Amino acid sequence: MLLFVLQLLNGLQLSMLIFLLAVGLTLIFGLMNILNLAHGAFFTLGAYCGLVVASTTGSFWAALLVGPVLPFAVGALLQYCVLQPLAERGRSTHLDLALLTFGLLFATAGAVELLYGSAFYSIAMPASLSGHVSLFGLSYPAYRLFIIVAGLAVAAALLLIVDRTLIGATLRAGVDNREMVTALGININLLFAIVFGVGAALAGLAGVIAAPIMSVYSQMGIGIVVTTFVVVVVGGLGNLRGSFYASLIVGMTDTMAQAYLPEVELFAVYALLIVVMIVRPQGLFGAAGRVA
Amino acid sequence: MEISVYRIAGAILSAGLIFGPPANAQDKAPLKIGLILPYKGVYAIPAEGIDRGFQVALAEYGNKVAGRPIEIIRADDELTPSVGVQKFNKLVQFDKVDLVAGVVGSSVAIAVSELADKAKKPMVFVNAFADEITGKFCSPYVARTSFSANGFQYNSGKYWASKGIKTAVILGPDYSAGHSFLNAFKRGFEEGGGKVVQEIWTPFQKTKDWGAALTQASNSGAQIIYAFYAGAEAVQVVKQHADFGLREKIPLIGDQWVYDETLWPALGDLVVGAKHITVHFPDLPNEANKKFVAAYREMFKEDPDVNASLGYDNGKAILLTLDKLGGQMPADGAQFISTMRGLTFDAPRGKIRFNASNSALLEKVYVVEIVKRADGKLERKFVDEFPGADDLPGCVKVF
Repeated sequence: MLLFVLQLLNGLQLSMLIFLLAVGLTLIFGLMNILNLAHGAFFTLGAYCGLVVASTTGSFWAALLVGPVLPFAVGALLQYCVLQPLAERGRSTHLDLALLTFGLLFATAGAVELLYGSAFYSIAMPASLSGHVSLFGLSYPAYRLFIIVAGLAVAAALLLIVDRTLIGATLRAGVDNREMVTALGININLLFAIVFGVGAALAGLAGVIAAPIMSVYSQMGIGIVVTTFVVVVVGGLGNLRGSFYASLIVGMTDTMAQAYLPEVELFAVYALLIVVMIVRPQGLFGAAGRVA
Repeated sequence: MEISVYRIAGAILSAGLIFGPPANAQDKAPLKIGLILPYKGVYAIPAEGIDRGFQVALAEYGNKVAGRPIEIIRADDELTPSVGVQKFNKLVQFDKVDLVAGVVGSSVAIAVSELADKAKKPMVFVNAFADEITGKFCSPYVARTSFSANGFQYNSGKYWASKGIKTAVILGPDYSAGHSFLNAFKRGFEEGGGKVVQEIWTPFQKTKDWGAALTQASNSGAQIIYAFYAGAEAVQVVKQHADFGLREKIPLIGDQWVYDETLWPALGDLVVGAKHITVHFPDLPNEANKKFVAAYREMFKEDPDVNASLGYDNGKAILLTLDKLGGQMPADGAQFISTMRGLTFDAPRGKIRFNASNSALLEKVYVVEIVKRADGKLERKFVDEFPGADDLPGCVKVF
């Protein structure tokens, strides 16, 4: 029983990390209909930016604050200066943008390798989080609890913004009916750039948060694309709550499979994806109509 | 009449000047060696070490064998069999290399060895540790200068069983190399009276969080976790093992790749006190190693890692063979490989000799502990040694 609770915590922690990575992607996909395969690049950029900040200031918290700034800037500029003009040209944009962002993912890995080599780096955990916390008779690494708290905090903040603010309302309107929003005089290009930037910044934040327990290296962003896309598809496009629940499903599936059925771990997440695609192609939590 | 004699003489002379003495010209033509390594991506660091070790071997020979200069043509297999096949074909058909060296990944090696067999071109693997390479897929055109998974790990299992370890969890990536190495350990460990109480296989290059696996291992009641990982995965496993506070409760024992020194900067003090097995470390007290380490330090201003020593062995074996053949590539590539099979030489890791299916054997495997020196630098301290095991049988061809 104790073991199962520990595994639940492990699952929750992985889910929150996946949520941070996937939520930006689902917002971008839902709002702009852009298949952003470069999402992993922002994960990498955030981690390296955090690494530089942490090694100059020696503070994890500074890295956590500053790390996402670079991916935000790069993401917003990319959307405003490259992806948007390309989309406006109106050719087979889905494929064009997918190819462009896919190329960007590898170009980022290559550029990072050129600058920092292919060595492995790490951001040191803050001393306050490097111990263990005793909870109901079990001991659990404090940093992993911090990941859970950080994920929940981001989820709550995003929900508040999307549900309660003007920009959130515009965003929701944009996901539902883009033409109407434009017709009402909203500068949709600017909104797109901001949302893209925020999505990229969240991926960067995930990069900094993941750095102390995983490692920072040039190829780190490439492997995460599949997992995040599963979350986007399962959760429904542009659906914030959906992507939160989907992250929980994917994270728990992965952890429980690793713990109790290691033979099916790799297969479990894909099986989930296939079933959802067949039964509810709009996602488990998506509104009817939008199909991935 | 006289004039015509002079003319003929002149013609012969000028022909000689233009074409040169044919036999001599052939001697001076370079020997071309293709070197296939995964230069970019997850195995970029080991690839660089191997390449450097190879260069040290070349420098030792002054880049020449029997008066013929050596030309290295590099190719990146991207750790992908289909790319490795393309690069092998390009080297053989377009660059017209005399032989091919390198290859780290076993899956690439299996694909390439079939081509070498068909093209009758000598292929000398540097890593490619899967037992099958010189077992089920053996070929008279293929040799390996490193060792097999069984050769490295079987006696490690026996060793730890003899040191009072009765129960272990094995933890590794779910792909061919992971299975080869850890199953060899398991065979030796259980032969020696130990018991593997749990096997945990994680999806290769897909796993980033080992929380669930480590929680299970910690709860299994075993005395140690015996792991095989490399690169990013090794960093993550070692870090997370420490995060969960398992260093005292269930130590993580592994090999030279789990505790690779290229990972030490990312791991910090977490590696201090860790024990692992290795085929080479810079402080090995034999003559061949002292020479190699000195040459490597001279060229690259740092200590060689285990990959560099494997790259050196690969280059050295090839150059010794070429030297023995007088710098001439035999018409049949198999003769090159059989000449190599007949070699015995002192390498940094110990004496290297080959078995009947062209696979190099390990004279010794070393047990080391990572310790912190007084000046704060990390180094490996010799703990013990045991002989490498024989390869698994499996090669049915006779050559």
